[in-house]
Amino acid sequence: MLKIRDLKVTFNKNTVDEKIALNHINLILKEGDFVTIIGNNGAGKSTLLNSIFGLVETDKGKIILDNKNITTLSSHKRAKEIGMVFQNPSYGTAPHMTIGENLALATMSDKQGNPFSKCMTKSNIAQFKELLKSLGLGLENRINANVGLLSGGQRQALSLLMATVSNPKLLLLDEHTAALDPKTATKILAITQDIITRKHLTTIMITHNIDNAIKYGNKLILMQNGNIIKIYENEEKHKLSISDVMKLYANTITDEMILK
Amino acid sequence: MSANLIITFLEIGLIFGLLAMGIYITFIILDIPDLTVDGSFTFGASISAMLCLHNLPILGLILGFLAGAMAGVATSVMNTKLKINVILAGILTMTGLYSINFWVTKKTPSFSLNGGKTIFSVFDKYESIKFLNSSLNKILTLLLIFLIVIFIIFLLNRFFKTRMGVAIRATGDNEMMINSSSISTDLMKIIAFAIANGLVGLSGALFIQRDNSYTSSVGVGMMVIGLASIIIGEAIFRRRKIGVAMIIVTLGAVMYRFLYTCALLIPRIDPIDIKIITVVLIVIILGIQLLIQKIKKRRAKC
Repeated sequence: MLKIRDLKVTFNKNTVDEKIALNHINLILKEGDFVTIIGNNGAGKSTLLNSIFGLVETDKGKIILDNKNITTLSSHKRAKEIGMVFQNPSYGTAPHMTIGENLALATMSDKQGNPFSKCMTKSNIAQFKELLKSLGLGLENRINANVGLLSGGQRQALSLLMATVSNPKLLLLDEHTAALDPKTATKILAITQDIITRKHLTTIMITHNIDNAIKYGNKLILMQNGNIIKIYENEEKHKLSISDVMKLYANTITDEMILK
Repeated sequence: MSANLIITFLEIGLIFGLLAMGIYITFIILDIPDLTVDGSFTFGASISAMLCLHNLPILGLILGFLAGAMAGVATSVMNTKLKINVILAGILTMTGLYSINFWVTKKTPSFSLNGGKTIFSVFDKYESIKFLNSSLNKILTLLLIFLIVIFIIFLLNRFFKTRMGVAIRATGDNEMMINSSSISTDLMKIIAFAIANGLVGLSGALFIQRDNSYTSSVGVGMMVIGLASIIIGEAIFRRRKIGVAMIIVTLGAVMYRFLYTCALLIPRIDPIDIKIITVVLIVIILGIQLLIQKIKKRRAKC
């Protein structure tokens, strides 16, 4: 499904600020995998997701999605097959446009129809209302409201819907609940899980919440300094406790200190 | 103010409405400053003028639009594909067009269209008929311009509700989101620049036909006039949904032309002074808007 081979990303190359963000990453995902990634700030989690999505230029290595090499493809071309939701709720939606128009934009690549056809047709509106209903937030009654009027949680739910509406092969979630209050975050995570199960999406989710990282998905990846240092799968993952992971965190930090 | 004066400011105001709509697309919808405008206005005007001399005024308007659109594409391709700063790209196109416009007019800097035909020539025969304190041909000219502007407003409103139109609006609203939704923002920008400068070219093409003469300096300061129209329109009517935005900027352009005409009625002010008056007017209006916002914020805090 997704194969990442020997991926390397360096920031500020050939300057004094040179930083290796991803150091020869190898990763293979099977269809339907739900991977959670945890790690310190600067571990390379976001860089990994951004390079899969095409927002970061890679130095070396290959990214292969469904037997297609997408390493050098521009991000809007990858977007046909990959959906991404960012931490900042304002990234995923256009604030001065209506909920309906936002959803229409998300489905636009889906049907390669006439660009001069009307954007909000009756059948479109009916379809969007159905989609919005599945979120359970009452947004289906506000289809003509500007997205800028929505709360962060609502916007994030809409972003999630927009990222998944065209059934992407891969869903990338970059701490998409981190900017929300705990109650809303829980709700959004529940919606996320629901969409992923319903559409059987292959997903990578970054989180800072170790509890969630253990609770959700079938794989857990721990990253540190641009490396994947540990992968837990299925059984092994479900047996993990927060303290186990915390210990691992502590170990890696001491290891690093000794090396230095 | 005499009837003729009123008709004149309405006519020119409406023509500048087309210009203002074009600038609205780049400046407000895309949120990108486009300095091609002065060049593309003249480009549309020069092409239109030459075709009028060959008795092809309607083709002049169509090619005037296309000429402007080409100028817009040039600027936008420089910006999106060659990564040239958009302000510089606009200046480059505008400067290049200076020479091109002289090629178009065969190195003549200014001439009258009397030898040829404009779209308003058909009304000439009504000149002697009096109507509403003016002559019928003037009323008909105004009416034709009005219909053209209404038609363009109608088309634009339709366009901005189509899939492509919505994608262009979203490119200006949240470029990052559009990039992650498999639409090419570069292409959307190029199309928007083409339409915007096409409207500016059409405005120039119509302007010289109404004026019945062409000068190579006809486009100087058009950018500022367009901006003034948008600012006046938005100051009076507030920003609304896209459907009425085009009407508002057109009314802004008419309003601007009204203020311009009033200013000229003041003794000792002549056309040369108008540009500085416009600039000062824009700065004052923008300053007042900021002040109002600040006062509102302070009130909200209390």
